Parts: sequence; structure tokens; C-alpha cells
Amino acid sequence: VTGAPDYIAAIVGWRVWAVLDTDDGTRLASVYYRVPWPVRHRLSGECFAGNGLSRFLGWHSEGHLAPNRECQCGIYAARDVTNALQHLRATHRPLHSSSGLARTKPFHYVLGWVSLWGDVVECRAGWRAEHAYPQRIFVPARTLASESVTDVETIAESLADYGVPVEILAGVGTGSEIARVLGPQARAA
Amino acid sequence: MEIGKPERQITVEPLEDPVPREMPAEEPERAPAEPERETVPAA
Repeated sequence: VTGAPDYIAAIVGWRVWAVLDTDDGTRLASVYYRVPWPVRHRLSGECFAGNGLSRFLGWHSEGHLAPNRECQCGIYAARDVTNALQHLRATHRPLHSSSGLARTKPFHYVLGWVSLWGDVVECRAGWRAEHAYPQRIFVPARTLASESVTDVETIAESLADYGVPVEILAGVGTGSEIARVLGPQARAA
Repeated sequence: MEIGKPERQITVEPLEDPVPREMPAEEPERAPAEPERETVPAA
């Protein structure tokens, strides 16, 4: 017998994604691990405990289901768009560069709302979840380095495969510009 | 992403699936309607 859930509607938070070309088409991917997000199927979190890179980041050493409160695993989202953008700035590398973890290279970064459900670790400024799916995608027309993205409409069209609203943020690229444009909706949950 | 320290662990079971359903496939061509049977007057 399972207990009653705490919530019967998905939690919605902010996150940023890399945009990759894959064999299956244009896909969102996690910025750090470059895990492609499937189209019309939920993404389920997996703990990378035991991964040598993760051992130094406060991850639990023993395998377990994600998310685990004592670990760092799960699918991340932030309460506030500025928090998500800070993550992008911190991990941002020039486009088309290789991270060492990536098998494919991102050609743009986008942000948006993400639905979270299943087991969820609620934190002060966001969540780590078991399952996730994009709810709304915003495609900045410029990169963080203020370079114009010439094929922004093509990117937006290809991301429509996810079956959720995709909106181009015309003329913005930097985190502060995005936060200003998204002002009233900058807090998704 | 820096989201701070864990405060609690919760369970979320949305009544509505957050994953959009597949676009409905094109309707298959309808089978031709059966010809109406001739009505035979009762003897």
C-alpha cells in the first residue's frame, strides 16, 4: 500500500538546457551532463554515484534511486529564473566547444519551465526530482556572449517536437535581459 | 545548479500527465458503406 501523495499537480520550476543535434533530431539536453531529454516521454533521474567525477561533488557513494536527500542526484530546477541563469553562466562554454563529458556539442542554450514529479527533494531555492518534462521553452535570439543566433526560428520549430509552447525571446541574450523580459513570470512556481 | 540545502522530501503524483500526448494519427480511410439491402416485401 502506498501512501497518499503530498501533491496531485506537478511542481513547475525553471531550468536551462543545451540544444543538441542528435541522430533523433534536435533535442534538449542537460547543460552539464548533456543527457538528451526524450520527446513525449518523461526523463527519469539517475544517480551517477560511483562516477569518478561525481565523487568529489558531495554525491553519495552507494547506488540508490534518484533523488536521494543525502545525495546531490535528481533532475534539477530552480524556483527563480535568475538562479537557473546563474547556473548557465557558471557552466557556459563557448558554443561548439567540447566539455569532455559530451558526445555531441550544443549549438544553443535555451531556458524554460519544467514539470517535476515522482519523489522530489525540495530545497531552499529549487528541487531535485525523479521525473521531469519541459512545460514551456524560451529560445533567446542571442547567446550569452551577445552573438546573434541566425537560425533561432529553425531551432524553435525543431523544439516544437516536444509538444509544448516554444517562444522566441527576440533581442535578448544575457541573463539580466532575459530576467527583465520574463519579469512577471520569472518565478514559475 | 545551486538550489540550496534539502528541506524535505515529498511525493508528487499529478492527476494530469505532464507529458503531452502524441499527435493523433491520421484517421484511416473509412471503409465503404455497405450497400443498402433491398427490402423484400412480405408475402
